[in-house]
Amino acid sequence: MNLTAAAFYILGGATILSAFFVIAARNPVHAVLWLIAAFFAAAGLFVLIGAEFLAMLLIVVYVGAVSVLFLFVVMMLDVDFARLRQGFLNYLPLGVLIAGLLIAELFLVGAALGENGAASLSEGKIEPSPGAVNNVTAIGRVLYTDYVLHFQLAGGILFIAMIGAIVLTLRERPGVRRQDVGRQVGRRPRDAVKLVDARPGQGLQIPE
Amino acid sequence: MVSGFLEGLFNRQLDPAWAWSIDKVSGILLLVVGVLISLAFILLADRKIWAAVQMRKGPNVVGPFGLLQSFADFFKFVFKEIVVPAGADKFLFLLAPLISFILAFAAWIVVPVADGWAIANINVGIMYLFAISSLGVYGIIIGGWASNSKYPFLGSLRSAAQMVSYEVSIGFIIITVILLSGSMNIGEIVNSQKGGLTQWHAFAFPTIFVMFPMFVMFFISALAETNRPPFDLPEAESELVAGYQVEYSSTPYLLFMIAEYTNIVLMCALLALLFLGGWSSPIAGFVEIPFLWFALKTLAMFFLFALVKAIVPRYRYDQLMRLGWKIFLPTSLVAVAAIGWYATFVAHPEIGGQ
Amino acid sequence: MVDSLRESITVVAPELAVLGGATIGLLGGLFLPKRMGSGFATFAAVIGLILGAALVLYHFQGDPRAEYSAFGGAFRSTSFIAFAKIVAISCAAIVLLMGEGHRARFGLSGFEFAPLIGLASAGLMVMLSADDLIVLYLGVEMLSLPSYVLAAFARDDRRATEAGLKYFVLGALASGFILYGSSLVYGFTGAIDFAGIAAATYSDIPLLFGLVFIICGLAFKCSAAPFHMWTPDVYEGAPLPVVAFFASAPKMAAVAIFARVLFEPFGPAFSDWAGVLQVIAAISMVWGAIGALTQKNIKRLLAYSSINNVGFALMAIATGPALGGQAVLLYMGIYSLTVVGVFAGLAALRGPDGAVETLDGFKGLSKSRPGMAIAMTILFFSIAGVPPLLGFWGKLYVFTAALEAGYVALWAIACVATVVAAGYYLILIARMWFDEPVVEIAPRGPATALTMDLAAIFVLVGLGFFGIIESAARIAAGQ
Repeated sequence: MNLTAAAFYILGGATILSAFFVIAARNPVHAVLWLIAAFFAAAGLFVLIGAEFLAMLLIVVYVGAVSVLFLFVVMMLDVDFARLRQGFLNYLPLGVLIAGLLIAELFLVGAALGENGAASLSEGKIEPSPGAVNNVTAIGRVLYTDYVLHFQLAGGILFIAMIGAIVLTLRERPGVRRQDVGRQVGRRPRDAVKLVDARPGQGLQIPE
Repeated sequence: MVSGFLEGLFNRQLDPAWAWSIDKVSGILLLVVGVLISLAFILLADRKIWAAVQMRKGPNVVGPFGLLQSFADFFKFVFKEIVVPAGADKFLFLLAPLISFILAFAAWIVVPVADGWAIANINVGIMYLFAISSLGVYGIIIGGWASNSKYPFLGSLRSAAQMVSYEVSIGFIIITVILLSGSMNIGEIVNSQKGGLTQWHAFAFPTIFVMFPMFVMFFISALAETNRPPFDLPEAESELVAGYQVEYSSTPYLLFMIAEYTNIVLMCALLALLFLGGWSSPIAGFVEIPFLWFALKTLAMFFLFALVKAIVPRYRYDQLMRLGWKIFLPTSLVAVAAIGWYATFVAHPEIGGQ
Repeated sequence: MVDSLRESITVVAPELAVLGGATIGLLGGLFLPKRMGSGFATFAAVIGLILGAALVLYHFQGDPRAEYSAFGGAFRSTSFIAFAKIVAISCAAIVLLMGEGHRARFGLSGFEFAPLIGLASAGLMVMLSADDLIVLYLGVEMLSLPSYVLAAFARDDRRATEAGLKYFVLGALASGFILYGSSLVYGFTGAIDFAGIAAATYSDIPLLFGLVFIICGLAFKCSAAPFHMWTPDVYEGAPLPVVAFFASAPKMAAVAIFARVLFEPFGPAFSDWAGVLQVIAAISMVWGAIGALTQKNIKRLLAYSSINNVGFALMAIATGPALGGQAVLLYMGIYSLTVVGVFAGLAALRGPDGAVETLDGFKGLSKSRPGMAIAMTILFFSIAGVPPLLGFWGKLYVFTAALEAGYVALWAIACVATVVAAGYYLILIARMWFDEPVVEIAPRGPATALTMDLAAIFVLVGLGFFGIIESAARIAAGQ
């Protein structure tokens, strides 16, 4: 067993173990933290096959942004997991059945790949850095030429999701006083302040 | 380096894997020790500058001119008792400062302090830095939550929102630099700025009209990203006591502090590398000592950080969010479009002109 | 890439027009003064839709059998797709026009309503034109996301919010099905483009797993029976114009892409999926017919009616491309346009407290609004499939296809389901004509009544139009 294989088994094992603890953890915050650990190990696997750009993207997007929001929400909500789990045993057989089906399918895919030479996938095609260029350049070249439609459509979907989120959550409350920085900065002392000589004992008559 | 020395000493050839490991480990040790020691004096400089702005003398008791003040503080923290609050999640409570500390130093391994002097010279170096700096928020958010106390929790939530917001604009600004250099490797980004001050990304003509504002925005975003004043809302003493650090004492607190300052210096180093030509001399051919220039530029940036802390009042939270989302985000987006256009049609017409 | 970017863009021009209209409408709604903004948004979205339809027609004006492929075989336009697109876009445009002016009544006063419909229409066009699994999935999502938002658009209404959430959760599950199925198919065949999947040599059993997942997901999206549970709740909760949209345009598109996915990439596996589809079709027809019998709410009733109708369409798909291609287009085209008319009628009825939603509200409609009652009767008869109305001809084609394919049992089930379904349409019509009014209905309705009358006339004199639609569908199906 060489070093790469050892690294693969360690990282792969870490991914699976963390994923298991995501569902096994009693505390939802711990579950999210395990999820982050799983992302990390997966990023390590990416590095191992030479896809360092994808690894970094995984960390920036999923660990750096998405999981923070998860954590944010989970910490704010007081989720009582014990109560959520009450029906756990009742649904266990069905869950196991579905999980077993999915696993069986994965094995079938593997078997089919090995059998009828759809293994054209494995050799050569999975080349993180085709030619001499590094994989950032390689991804960029494909993304903006062959897959430009897919790329733009994905962007369009994010745009729509953003509009949707705004439509569903933005409320225009009447009577809100907003800060207008321009007006604030543009305000001069002479517009707001007036110097008055106050005579002792007489006080001041405030206008208005 | 070290492996060569060892080979000479014992007069026999080392296994290449061993040689590589020894070199890297010694390099990492050198870097960590170097950063830690310079940090001690940078911290002192911070306090001295702050004091000078307020016409005080600052720390001047320990050692000549107070030079050893940071070391005194260090030992004070280390010898105190670690207090873990009763309701705290003990494991996470102690993990949080470790995460902060480790991440802060993990980022430094791709920073080239001079030409080729990086422990790991990776293709996506700048992405790595961005990824690691975006993880810094975890130390704070976990620390705040694990303390099981209201002020720390509020502070950590504030900080999470703040750091996530400013990461967006930092990301876009980094993209403008990547577009101009055509690489994500930090060494190549610096090399693309060779040839004196007029070639630095912050000042090169004609992109100066876009890139200098980007330089300033990166500086401000870096302030927010590192929770420095005027954006130190997560630890606002007057409102939240000290934010996520309230329950921390002794060494864990020290780790948080060191991580914070390491990140600040990292941001200064990034400013120098991305916008100020890294280790290259401002006048081509004039005193070409790479490490000297890198250190000088980083320190100059830190001087600005310290000055800002001393003279700018703290932002209100809504003002902070407004600045990040309504001003920096659109501006940096426009800048990415403009620089993208420039890079495609002016700098590299072979791509854009069909 | 063989085809240049410029040529590719001309192929997606209709989608770009629809997307552009929606986006301009959105910008207008944002920056114009409030009173103008909403109207402008609708106007721009409708113009975009009309322009899109015109561009689709323009592509096929010279040679109706032309085929366009773009973006290296990721996107495709044929007359089959064009037919579905034009029907769907027209439905969307009619929905927008009929809702305009009194949307506030349904809690839809925000200007984003029209742009969202426009964006959803662009999404369904992309979905229809998909020529690989990724674009298929992206199109499905692009249609679904605005739909979730539209269902919950009246966000102060508890039922609408619930409908939106339900639709979102179940829809996300369906998208997951499609995605998982797609990844399995890719795993077995090593191709994501439809032609590559069709050409790949594969062993039947493993591929079937992926196919079944994709079928489940698509059946979900067009609310076929074992996956229909979201439909009644969403129809009941969502605002009326939104339901009118859900019941017409996306349904047309979902059934058409269902047909395309089965006919094109999985055409060689016909014997594998035909059985699955027959089962789904049978369950949909029966469940749609029986479920509707006990409903008290007209929107729920129409939901079950749509499940029932999708069952007929799927029966046509199950007969394969040669027999069922024309029938499915014809059936869904006619159904979509008719159902828009029905919803226009519902939108035009105004009771003392808002929209009329219960079946009792229809009692004695012939006395308070005779014109409306006549139009409604015609439309319901058409959906039920009473000859000589348009709906009958759609059913005729589907039934003929099933017989020709030799699905006698399925045909018999379809006949029974038709009779049962006709029963509840007749009950509704009977209430309109033979009962005394229970709910007082406002004597003058908004302009939607006009839309509905037009729809009724269209259905009534359908025989004239039928020739046009029939030949269009025939050409579209490539016969």
